[in-house]
Parts: sequence; C-alpha cells; structure tokens
Amino acid sequence: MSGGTYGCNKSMEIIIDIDDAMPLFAQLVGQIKKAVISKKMGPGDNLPSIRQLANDLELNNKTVAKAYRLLERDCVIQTKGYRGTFIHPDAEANSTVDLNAWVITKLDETINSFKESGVTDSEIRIAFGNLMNKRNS
Amino acid sequence: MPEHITFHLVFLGQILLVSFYLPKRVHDQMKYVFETYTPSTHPKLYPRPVEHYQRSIRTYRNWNLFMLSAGLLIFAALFINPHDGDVDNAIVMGYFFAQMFPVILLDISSLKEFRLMRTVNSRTTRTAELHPRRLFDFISPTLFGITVITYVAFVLLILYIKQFEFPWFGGYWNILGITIMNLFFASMVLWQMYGKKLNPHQAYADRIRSIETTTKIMVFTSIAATVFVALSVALSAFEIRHLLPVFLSLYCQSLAAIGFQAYRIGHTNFDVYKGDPLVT
Repeated sequence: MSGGTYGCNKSMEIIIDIDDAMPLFAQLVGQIKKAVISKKMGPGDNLPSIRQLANDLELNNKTVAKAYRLLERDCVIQTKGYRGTFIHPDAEANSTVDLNAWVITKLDETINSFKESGVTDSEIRIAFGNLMNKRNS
Repeated sequence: MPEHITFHLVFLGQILLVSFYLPKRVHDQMKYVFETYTPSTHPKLYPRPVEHYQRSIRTYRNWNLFMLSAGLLIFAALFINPHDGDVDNAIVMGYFFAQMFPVILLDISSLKEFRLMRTVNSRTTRTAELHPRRLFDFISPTLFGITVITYVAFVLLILYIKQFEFPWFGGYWNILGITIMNLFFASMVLWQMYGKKLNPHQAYADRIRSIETTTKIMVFTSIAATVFVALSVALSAFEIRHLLPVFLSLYCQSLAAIGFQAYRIGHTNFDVYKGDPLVT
C-alpha cells in the first residue's frame, strides 16, 4: 500500500551556510543554477514550494521567495500557478549568464567615460546615490 | 453468558496488548538504542545528562506496569461481577485513555528533547532536498481512495439511518465528529509534510520514512474510527448493542497497534548523532 514513489525522481541536496558572507538568497540562487549546469536538474523538473524549502532550511519564507523571484527573472525557473515551480526549458543556457558580472562591466565602462570627462569620484558616488534613491522613492 | 466470556477475553487482550506487549517492544527498543548508541559515541542524541534518560526509561516501564496491574484488577472485578453493556463501554474507553497516558508522556518528552537539541545545535550549515513532497509520495492513491470511499459510505449510512428517527441516534453529529477528526488528521499530515523539522539532526531519508509512517497511521486511524462509528450505529439499529463493548475494545486495540508503529526505529540512521558533545 506504500506510495513508494519518493526518491524515484532525480533530486538534489542543497547546502547553505548561515555563517557564510554570501547572502542566503544568493547561496540558494547559486546552488540551483549549479544543479542545472551540472545536469542534476533538467527542464521540467519540479522544485519544492517556497514554504517547504524555507522550513527545511529553517529560513524565512521571504528569503526563499526572493531567490525564486531572481531565478524566475533569469529564466532559470518558471512558476505555473498552483501546479508549482519548474526548471525552465532554457535554464541551462540562462544559468551561465552572470547578470552581476554584466552590471559590473557596464558600470566600469560608464565610470571610465565619466573619468575621461573629468568627473571626480565623489561626484560619481553622489550622483549614483541620488539616482538610486530617486528610483526607490 | 458467552457474550460476557467473549468480552472478558477481548478486554484481557486489550490489557495485555496495550499495557504489556506494545510498551515492552518500545521499552526494549529504548534500552537497545541507549546501550548501542551510547552517550559517549552519539552525544547529539543525548542533550541531557545520562541519568535523565535512565530515569525516563524506568518511568516509562513503571507507568506501564502500573496500568497493567490496574487493568488486571479491573478485569478480575468485571469477571466476578459482570456489568451491562453501557458500563462496560465506559470502562473499556476510560481504561484505554489511561493506558495511553505513558504514550502521551513519551511524546511530550520527545518534543522537549527535540527542542533542546535545536537549542544546543551549533551547526551552521543546513541542508534540503530540491524535490517537492506530495501526499502520494507517502501513501498510494488506492489507500487514499479507500479512505475517501469509507468516509462517503459512512455519510450515506448516517443519512440512511436518520430516516428511521431512532431516539438514541446522534444524526448529523456523527458526520460532524468524523469530519472534524479527518480535518485534524489532514492538518497533522500537512504539518508533517511541510512544517519545520523538529529533530535538527534527523537524516532526510529518516524524515521521509517518519512522514510516511505518520501519514499511514492517520489514514488507517481514520478508516478504523469511521468503521467503528458506523458499526456502533449499525449494532444499535439492529438492537445488538450489547456486543458494542467487544467491538469497542477491538477498536481500541487496533488504534494502539496502529499508533505504536510510530515508535519503530527500523532503519534509522544514528550516525547523524555522532560528534562532539554539545552539553556537558
């Protein structure tokens, strides 16, 4: 009478370290992308719900929700309403895209062009801070 | 008279099963774990001083011995001076609740141990499986279907009996009671499947086995309770209510036999409790 299906699907263990300098949501994002790149998880594989993963890792729901939101933005996972969250068909290619590295490259190029025009470091910092504050308000 | 003899035999079975055989198995298991996975080799399993666990094992054994003695005294009293069915029902049910008292103590004690384990747990890494847990991972659709069919059949039986307007019949209260019980069991299963892990050291495979056992206990208890209530209504309708104490005792025994499955250690991975002592 046993259900007995548990563990038949391929699954993967993730490990987070609460003392690590890297934010918890970033550890989650990184490990899920790593699972996709190493083919431990493939397109269509089902992911646990936010609540299940948060409780298993003893994290706040918001932390896991943030990680899932970022993975969804990067097209690594996709949410299909009540059916759950699945690995995106293009997840493997999208997992190799490093948005942080792209942001740093773009910012570096922009800062270089400012410096060439004679703008000082403090002027760049103040302008960047003001702009971000204005966007967030 | 044969009914009295049947009742006495069944009630003796209840005394021996619930206060001797099943607790003895748990007691032997506790002793086995304590002697095999010692506080020196598996310190994470024992967040309190060793004496506390020795005392707990003794207390559990003594409570059951007390219940066994009390049961045998009740049995002797009933044998010498047989009562009518309703008194027997009250004795069977009241004694069963008393028999379950050591089990309640054991559960409360386990919860306290897990809380202490969580408090002293110094591990900074946490693990989880990237796999969703679903009901049918733990019970088969067939068993779930049988549970649903049992409930629906029970509701139909109650609706059928209601039209005869028996003075003793509780009517819709029977349906309400069974429905509340099933909702409670469903919430217990959901809590086990998606709730926080109580034991911080428990291996994932053990957790899955534990959820599976709990789910099956809840499902079988639901079926047993529904069948019993239906049976008691049917016995009353056919005016053979005097047989009820026998079925009530059998029902209590089946509940205990199902419930005690939760305490089987089976293939539990005790390696997770190895390591440095957490509390000295």
